[in-house]
Formats: sequence, structure tokens, C-alpha cells
Amino acid sequence: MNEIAISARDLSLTYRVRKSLFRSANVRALNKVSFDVYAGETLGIIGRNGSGKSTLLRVLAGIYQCDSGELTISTNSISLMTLSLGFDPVLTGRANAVFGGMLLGFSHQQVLSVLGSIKDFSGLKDAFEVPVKTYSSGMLSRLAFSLAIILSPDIMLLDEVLSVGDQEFKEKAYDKMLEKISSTQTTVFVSHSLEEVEKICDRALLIDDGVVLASGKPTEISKEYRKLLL
Amino acid sequence: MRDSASHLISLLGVKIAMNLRAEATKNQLGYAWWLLEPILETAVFYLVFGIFLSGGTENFIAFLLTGLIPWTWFSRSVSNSMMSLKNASWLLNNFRLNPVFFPLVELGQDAFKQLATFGFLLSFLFLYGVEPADSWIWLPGVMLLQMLLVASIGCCVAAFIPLLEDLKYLIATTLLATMFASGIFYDPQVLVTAQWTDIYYLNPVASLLQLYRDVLMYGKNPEIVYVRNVMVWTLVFSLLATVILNYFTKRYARLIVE
Repeated sequence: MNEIAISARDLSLTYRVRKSLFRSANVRALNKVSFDVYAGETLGIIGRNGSGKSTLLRVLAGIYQCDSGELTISTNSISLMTLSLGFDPVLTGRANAVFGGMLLGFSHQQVLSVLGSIKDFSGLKDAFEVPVKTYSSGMLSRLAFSLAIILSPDIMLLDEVLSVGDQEFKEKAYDKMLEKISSTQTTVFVSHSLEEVEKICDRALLIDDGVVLASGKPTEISKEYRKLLL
Repeated sequence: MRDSASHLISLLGVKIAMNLRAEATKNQLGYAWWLLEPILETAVFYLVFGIFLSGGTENFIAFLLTGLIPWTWFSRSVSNSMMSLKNASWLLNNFRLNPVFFPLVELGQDAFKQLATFGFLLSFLFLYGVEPADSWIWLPGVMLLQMLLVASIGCCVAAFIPLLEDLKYLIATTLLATMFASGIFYDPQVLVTAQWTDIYYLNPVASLLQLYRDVLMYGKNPEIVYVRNVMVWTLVFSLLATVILNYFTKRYARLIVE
């Protein structure tokens, strides 16, 4: 068994939604969530909308602080990969790629050194040099995915990133993901596609109402999830 | 690497440059607006105060501009940085970023644009007949003093707004009061009675404007009392901003969605 890359113990988080100056409503997003992620493995997280998956990824990425619990991560190189990396519509794909890469924690030089690969993988060609306000949603997804996959940190936290672009790019993105995942990359992967989770992940976690209901082999966890949906 | 000061500075440099470029490309005349804007403002004030009202104070237009241009920098920077954290909801909820990044981007952009504006101010003063004096060498020092004051106040208001958004109304009113209490349109050394002078200059903007006028118009070196007044407030606001931003660093993302 590889060493532990992420150790989560009893993570709890409750949103206090302000309704007025003196009133607020509590919405529990995570309730004593515990699990481990081993170095080099791909852990899939599945669950219904509002089950706490995205909140959990934000906690792992260090964006949210939990109300209680203990989180230990073996590296500082951990980033949440989303499909719209804060792109500025007025700026070119190239300029946005530079800023997006730096937001993921990479240095200016590191991002500049892989810009050519990002441009090639995205297949945007000359469109890489024009403002992204002219891009279709598929082109935006291509740029964001290429940036995330080429500049991967030690631990990647992926939130539904495989639903990208047209069929041709989707297949290309899927192959690249598999290539990454079969290497030493540690990945936590949130998806609604059970098929993807079964194919890509080594283990899976089922979350509902902020509670871990089950963890284990992706095929078994998928069955549990289907039962939950009935 | 990602949490280091050097990464933050590098990210700031890239974002400020990108924003300035983006702002320029939005308009047909692009970067020219950095210069055209103060020229148009000056033209309006010249028409109203220099021609219609014919001043009342010697060199009134020069006097007005040496107060108005630094004031515009101050008020724009405070207003722009005020909502910077609150408006950064998406980035804060998707990336691990030091919250001070957001007000500093606004402040950096405004400070950069001031270089063109102050270049215009010096040219105007020269053409208007104000002789360049040795004291002009203090101008970069006074501008640095203003930059530090603006940065400390800008970060402070940006830190407080996500905690209590209602403060924005109070800040807007305070800015208006400060505008009238800083001697932009009148000479406080003539109009403010001696018994109130010390208290009047506790307003850091009033002290700052006095420093600009001493250095640019009256050929005087900066007086320590005005420098001290500005520095004390800078220190107070810096401490306050540091405490609040540090305490809420990992809480802002949640606070803003809540």
C-alpha cells in the first residue's frame, strides 16, 4: 500500500446563511467525513446534487476551513481544477492561460514554459491569440481543460472536468486523463457519470447529506448509488 | 511556492498588467484616456473656477489641481478597493488565494495610472507659470506616502465589507465628508482658525494635500508634522487591515457565499 497523501478525519462544515442582521439558517454540508487517499491512486466521489461533494473538494484544496475535524495533506501542491479558470473575456487565450496557471499555484516561468503544450493540446490554433470573449463554450472548456491537465499539481482535485468540448476533444481529454491517472498522479475526482468513475477510479466514496455512506470498489459503490436514487 | 510572498507579488504584477491592458482595449482611445481624463477634468474646473468665478486665490487653478489630483487618486482607490473582496466571490471559492490580493490589484492599477496624471500635473504647473523648485524632488516621496496611506485604508475597507456590507454607505459618506474637510477648494491655512489648525490637520488627507502644495507650489520642503500625521494613520489602518485579513484569511470564501 502506498503512503497516505490525504488523511481526513471527522471533517464537519455547516454554512450559516445570513437572512437578516440577527437571523441565520444553518445548512450542514459535511458531517464527520473521514477517508484516506493514497499516493498515486484515483479516488472517485459520487453523490446527488447538494450532497457535499464540491464543498469537500474546496476543503481539500484549502479554500474552505472546516468547523471541526482534522485534515492532513502530504504536499502543498494541491489544486482544484474547474472548467472556467477565472478567464477575463477581454484578454487573449494566451494571457488567460498565464493567469489561470498562476492561480493554480505555478510560477510565471513554469507557466510560460508549457504555454506551447497548452496551445497544442487545446487545438485552439490561432484562436489562442484572440480575446476569449469570441470563444464558444466548447472552446473555453478546451482551454481550461488543457491548462489543468498540462499543469497538474501533485494532487489534482477534479470537479466534473470531463464534460468538455466536442466529441473529438472529449475522447482526447479522456485519453489524456487516463494517461495521467495511470502514472503516479494522485487524483480526487467528482463526477455524476458512474461509467467514468468505474473506468477511471481505483476506489470510490458515496456521499449523501454530508455523510459518507460507503467506500470501496467503484463498481460496488455505483450499485449503492443507484439504490439511493431509487 | 503558491503561498509565498514572491508568488503573490508575481501574480499581482501579471494581474495588474492584464487589467490595465484590458481596460485600455475596451475603449477606442485606449491608454490615451489616462491622460485625457485629467485634462478634461482640468478644463471643466478651469472654466468654472478660473473664468466664471475667477478664483479668489492667487494661482487658483494650480492650487485646485494640486489638491484635486491627489484627492481623486485617494477617493478612487478607496472606492475601487472597497468591494474588491466581496466581488471576488468566484475566484475566492475556486482558488486558494491570499485575500489581500484583491484590494492590492485595484490599488496597483490606480497607482500606475497616477504616473500619467502626475506627469500632466507637473506639465500644467510649468505651463501655468509655477517655476520648478528644488522642493519638487520631494514629489516621489510624497507620492509614496500617499500610496502607503491609500493601500492601508483600501485594504482595511476591503477587509471589513464582507463582514458587514452596510459599511459601504458609511464609507461613502466619510469620503464625501473628507473631500470637504481636506482643503481641495479652499486654502486651510487662510480659512481655518488657529485654534483648530492642529485638529484640522489630523485628517491625513488634509496633511497630504498640504504636503503636495508645499512641495509643488510654495517651494517648501515637507514639514514633519504633516508627514507624521499621514504616517500615524497609515500605521493604524495597516495594523487593523493585517489583523482582520489574517484572522479571516480562510474564512472569507465561506463568508461571502453565506
